[in-house]
Amino acid sequence: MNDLLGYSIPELQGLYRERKASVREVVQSYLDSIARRESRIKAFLQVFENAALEEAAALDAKGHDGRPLYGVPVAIKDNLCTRGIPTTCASKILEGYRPPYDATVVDRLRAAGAVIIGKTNLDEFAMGSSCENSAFQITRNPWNEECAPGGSSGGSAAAVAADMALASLGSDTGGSIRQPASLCGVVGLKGTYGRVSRYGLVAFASSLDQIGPFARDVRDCALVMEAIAGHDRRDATTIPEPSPDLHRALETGFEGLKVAFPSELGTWEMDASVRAIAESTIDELKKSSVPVSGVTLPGMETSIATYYILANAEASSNLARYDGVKYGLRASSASLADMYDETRGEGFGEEVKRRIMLGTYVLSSGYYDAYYSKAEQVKALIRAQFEELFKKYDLVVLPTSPTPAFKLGERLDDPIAMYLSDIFTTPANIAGLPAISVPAGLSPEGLPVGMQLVAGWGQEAKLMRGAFGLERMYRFRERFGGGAGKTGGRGA
Amino acid sequence: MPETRKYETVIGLEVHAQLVTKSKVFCSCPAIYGAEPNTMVCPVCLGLPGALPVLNGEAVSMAILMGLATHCRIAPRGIFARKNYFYPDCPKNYQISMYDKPLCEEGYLEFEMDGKTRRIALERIHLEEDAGKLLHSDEGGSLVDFNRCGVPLIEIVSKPEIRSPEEASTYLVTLRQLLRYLDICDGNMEEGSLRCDVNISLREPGGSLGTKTEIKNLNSFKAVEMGIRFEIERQAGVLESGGRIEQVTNLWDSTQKKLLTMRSKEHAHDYRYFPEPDLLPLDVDPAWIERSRSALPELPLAREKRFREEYRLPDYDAGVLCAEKWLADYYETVVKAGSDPKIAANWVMREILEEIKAGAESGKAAAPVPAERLAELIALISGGAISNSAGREVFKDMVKSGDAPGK
Amino acid sequence: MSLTDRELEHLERLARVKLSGEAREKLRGQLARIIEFVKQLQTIDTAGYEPRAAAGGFEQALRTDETKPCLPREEVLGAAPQRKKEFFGVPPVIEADEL
Repeated sequence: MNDLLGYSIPELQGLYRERKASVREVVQSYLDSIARRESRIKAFLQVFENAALEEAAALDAKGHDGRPLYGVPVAIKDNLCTRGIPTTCASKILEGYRPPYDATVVDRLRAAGAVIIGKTNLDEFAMGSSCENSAFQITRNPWNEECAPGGSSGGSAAAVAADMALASLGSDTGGSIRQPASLCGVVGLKGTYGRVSRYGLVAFASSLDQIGPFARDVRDCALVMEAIAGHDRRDATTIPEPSPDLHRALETGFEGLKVAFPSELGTWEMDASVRAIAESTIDELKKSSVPVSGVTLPGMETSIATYYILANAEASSNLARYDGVKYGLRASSASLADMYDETRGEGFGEEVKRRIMLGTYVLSSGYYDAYYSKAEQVKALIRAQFEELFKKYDLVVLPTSPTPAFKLGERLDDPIAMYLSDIFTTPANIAGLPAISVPAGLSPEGLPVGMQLVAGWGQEAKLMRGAFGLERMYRFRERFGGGAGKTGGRGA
Repeated sequence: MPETRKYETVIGLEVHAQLVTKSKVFCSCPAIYGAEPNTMVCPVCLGLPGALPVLNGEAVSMAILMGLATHCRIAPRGIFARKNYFYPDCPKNYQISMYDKPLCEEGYLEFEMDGKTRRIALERIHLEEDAGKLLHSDEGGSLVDFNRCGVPLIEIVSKPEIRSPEEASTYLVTLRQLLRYLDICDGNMEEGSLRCDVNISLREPGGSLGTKTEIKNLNSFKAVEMGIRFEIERQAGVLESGGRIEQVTNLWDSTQKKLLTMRSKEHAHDYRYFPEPDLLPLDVDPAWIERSRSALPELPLAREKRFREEYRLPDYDAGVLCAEKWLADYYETVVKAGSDPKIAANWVMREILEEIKAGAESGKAAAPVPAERLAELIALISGGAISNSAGREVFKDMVKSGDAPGK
Repeated sequence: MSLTDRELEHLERLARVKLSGEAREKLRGQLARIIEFVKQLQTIDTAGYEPRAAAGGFEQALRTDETKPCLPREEVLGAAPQRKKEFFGVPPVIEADEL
């Protein structure tokens, strides 16, 4: 039944409608795929084999009801709350914790007919760019098991790349969807800040966090995004609009869109393979008569520092609730102060502690103005500059990550080097803009390289059209579809 | 006894008032007192991972009402901030409050004292969430009940313009009366729906401000007066003997009627306030403010003045009748039904208030006889149909039977 | 830059995180480097840029004052590391304790 793994969401809907495949068969195919590959990739923290098959059987019994994700096997990052089901954020401090409610996106996936087949690994509390900060396991890149899948949503990216889920959800605070998408050769989308409800997403940095989909292609990605996006009464920061239509106009591609690229591209540090793919992308666009111009990209010098101040300031406060009183781990201490200090000292990993300490520092008396306030002002500046830019252009194209997948362990002891892997992705978070990574090509070592598009505030529809245009141009799946160690895709 | 009169007392009050909304300030749990422990909570007020606050518009309206009643400027944009500190009654280990952009600023509260009008300036009124409750366990350790978490509070901060314990308690009485007039807080200090913290310092007349100390836990008007008096004496004693005042926090022990000094802090507090990223700035448009303004009832001082002028009541009567809005309303209904204002005042202040006191401890008990019935009774007496003392007997029967006079 | 023992202790106390031994020394060095790195922002001219202008220009929807059912108590207390009857249990909190 392996061939069922090759179908896209619209293709699956066709099969279901014509009763050429059952949801149970499809879900079983993905479970089989997990059985073959998961022992090496370790993308999942939990697989819901029985529940997924039961849900599949229930869907089969009802028959196709027109719901957009009917019978689509989806994996979700383990920082999304699931009622009665462990939600760990890959942290010891939440080991065994079962939330009493479902995240809005979980409700919406189910309402759209999706079957949730498991919860994926991440850097602890989504803090990291390699998935190596998980307290429980190391996830490997399906394209090369010596390499990291990227992070923090590395498990969700690897699950889709290795055909262990048709689509998945991750969260992106500084690039945590787009960077692993790039490193794993899949599509990864972060919407406009406020497009997808954060209710039930365990917070890292509230003003930057956005949930978004991973998928093999742009259309699937658009379909999953449509299902999860839109205003939510439970999240005051969601945009008060219904979910936008993203998939219908995809075919128009770049038609009528003006594209900008960073003119400093040539001077930025990046892997030669990334540079080559970026340059050929711009050439190709020009050749296909898309208007393309070089611009100065806002925030390139300042986004990382701004991000590390704001994100960690918020994190230091968001993570204060893990104290051993209400749920999760508690150290057995006689005094209240010791209980706090030891629970948090033992329960959090190194990177999380580093960030909590930095966040505490930049908010503390005497430093607030110089660090936190200043970063808020720089954020306002970057936003204003992007607003100006998007008055003239519709999209910005640039690499997603300066390098393809790096070796496991390589950057662990150098936090700043690790932080710099987010250099191309953080500006979109700081400015709250929608951005997507589309697989573009392979490095000489055979590792995927993604290209990124950023659109103006609320312009996901344009973003997806551009992404579809790039996808048509790169033909990545046709050219390299079997590269992630797949058994050959459809027909194998 | 230290010579306290030598110093000028500088007092500022921070009053927390629980708003009487149906639901909590950031979630839909009932904001009620006295429920079984840990039954009035949800993911939001428990601060569970992933839960988010959504602001209750009614809580904002109530805060605006108090702002208008105290002549504050209502900020066009208020910003919620996180106050970060670890304490077991605070489930997120930060409190959502307002910091540099409160909802109401620069107002004042007026009251009559010793025949003069005192005006105390207010620094600010802001909206925030209440914390849970800690109890002591007999087996050692402490117990946490999170029911109170997220009940809306307004914090009303006075400028340090209060000069005596009596003035402080009169200020608080006036504030409570206003809150009850506006029907936004029940003012029950024993149950903690109105709480008062005091800042006190002494200075030589004309001198610069002294170091201030804080008293928390003042849970009655009497406690406010006593606590302040004790602290003034303590500080005066220290200064007299050439000592220095340390910046400490004292707790009022209501059973032993004394002040306990909290263990002095090694470090000063550092709450690391920053704007709450889960909420957008609170924009209050002029229309909202105007709607609130038109919903303001006649306020106590103005009503007292009107009672004196319109009904020719003595100061004392006007004060008693206007102490509570419902009582003033009741009185006016009796008068409008045709009773002589002074006779009606006597009946309401004597018979009606006595009946209420006998009936219930709390001030908001219902009147024992409908206002129209009382007016009928007064008419019978005034018309000479029955004597005054017979009238009292009839009144007692009316209370018992609920019937109209003459039945 | 470097972080003094006093500064690090202050941060540990505010963040309520206990660090010790080698890990503490490692973090001290890394933290100092990160602080140095983010300091670069202080040279950026941001005159005239007000923080927190809501990007989309929309106002948040306020909640109407209605109640909804709460969580069942068993779900509230079910996850408690220390439960004492209908309460969460914690080590003794002395009222005069300042944390």
